[in-house]
Amino acid sequence: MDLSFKMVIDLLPIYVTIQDQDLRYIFANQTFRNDFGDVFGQHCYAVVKGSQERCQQCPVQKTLTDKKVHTGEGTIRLPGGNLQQVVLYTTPILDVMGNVTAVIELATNIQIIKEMYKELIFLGQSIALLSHDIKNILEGLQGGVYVVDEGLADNDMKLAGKGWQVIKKNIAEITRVTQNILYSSKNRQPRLQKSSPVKLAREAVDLFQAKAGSLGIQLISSLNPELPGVAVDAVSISRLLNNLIWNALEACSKDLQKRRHTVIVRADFYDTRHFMFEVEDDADGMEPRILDNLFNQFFSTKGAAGTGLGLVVVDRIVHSHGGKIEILTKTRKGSLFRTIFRLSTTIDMPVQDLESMDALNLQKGDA
Amino acid sequence: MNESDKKSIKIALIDDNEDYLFTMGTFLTRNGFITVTANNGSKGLELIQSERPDLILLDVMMESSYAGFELWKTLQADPALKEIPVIGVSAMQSELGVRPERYSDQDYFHPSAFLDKPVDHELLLKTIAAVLKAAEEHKNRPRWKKTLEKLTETSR
Repeated sequence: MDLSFKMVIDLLPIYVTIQDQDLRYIFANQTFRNDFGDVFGQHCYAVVKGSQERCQQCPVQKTLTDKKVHTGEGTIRLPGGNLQQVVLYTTPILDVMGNVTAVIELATNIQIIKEMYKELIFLGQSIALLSHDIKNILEGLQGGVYVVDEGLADNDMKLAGKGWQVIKKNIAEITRVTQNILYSSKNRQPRLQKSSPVKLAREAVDLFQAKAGSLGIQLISSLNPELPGVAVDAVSISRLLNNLIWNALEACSKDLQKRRHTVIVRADFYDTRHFMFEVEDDADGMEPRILDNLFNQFFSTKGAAGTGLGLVVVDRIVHSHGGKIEILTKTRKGSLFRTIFRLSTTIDMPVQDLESMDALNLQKGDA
Repeated sequence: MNESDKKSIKIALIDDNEDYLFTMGTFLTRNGFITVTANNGSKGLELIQSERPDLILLDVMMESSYAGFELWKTLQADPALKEIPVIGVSAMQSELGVRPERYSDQDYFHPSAFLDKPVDHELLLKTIAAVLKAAEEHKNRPRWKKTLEKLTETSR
């Protein structure tokens, strides 16, 4: 059995390369060649970054300069375009005069660790936020119960009624939070049934009139009565609309630049074969950083007020219906969330219809 | 604290949750306190300036995560308002890790007491009584103590 060093190095499940002073590859092990092909003589930044220029933070260049071992973390681009997180180690090869002639670089894939790390951060944040939400709801329920008890004890039905409203509002809140947790943690197949988009939208708007009123936000609906009944999972679509409207109201209440805000909910035809729901606010819009993270579980800009599950649930519902979501936003102007579904949504969907839906490209971030 | 004392005690409730203002307001009123409310930090400051309450029940996270902290800092900068005792309220106390007793820094939030939501009614009444008693003692501290405090403050 041939156990030469070269063979061992070739088979190591990490990238081992040697680069000269000009950052050209003069050696690459088999693992590296399997992913990047024959790279002899090519610049490292061109191969793993697709760049024409040297990288700014480069442990190889540091080793070339100071002859020391360096470590670093970086992102490399595989020929297919996929990005991979790696941890790098570099060590110099010295000539008899002690000058660096080349640098050995080891790169280990840490993509899985990075992803787990990200998930752990999300999980930690989510538990804190969920706990905050739930404690606020408990406060509401406890306070409501107290008021009802006092009202009943004094035979003051008006007071009891007010307390009951608080209890009802908080039951709706705990239902929403719990359903979002449940919905985001499993892949639920939609239960399609004939439903009226106009009715679903009207119910969602009615549900939030009290909240909008208490925040001083005008919540109006523009629903096309010509929209026919469609086959959708009514429970899911209601949840989708509730989340979008709740988000819009929260965005308006956080925007202190304007004194009056309006949220508009629309249900209308998108084209001859599709219909859409739109929820539009005139809050302060979204920055690119927020847009990029919009559908990440537990990403929330609402600080204490959001778990970051709402849009994950929206995204999941849209996709489970074979629909599309479009987001139009302008900073300091507002945001519009448009969800598009087939008019002909039936349980036995013709294949070409599904494909034509895919042609409607997702326009995340279109300003 | 007896019933007749409570009658004249005014508590400012500052919280962005309208339901909480209503339910907690009802609880405090029915327990003999006078309550005044505000639903954000800036309205809270106006309310405190105009009403001069005996005690403030302050939510630390309102329109922004730090609205309550900022209001508290503003109060501390005002000699006329800094003596009003504050009970901090949050649903985030354990999550935030706010441990007021561990910080002596004047800039940092250190209210007279800190309660977590949902607020236990019995504990709240006990806390109010204790905080008011301490504030009363502080107010009636001998003149030499007040002078000493002033001297230490100016030499800082």
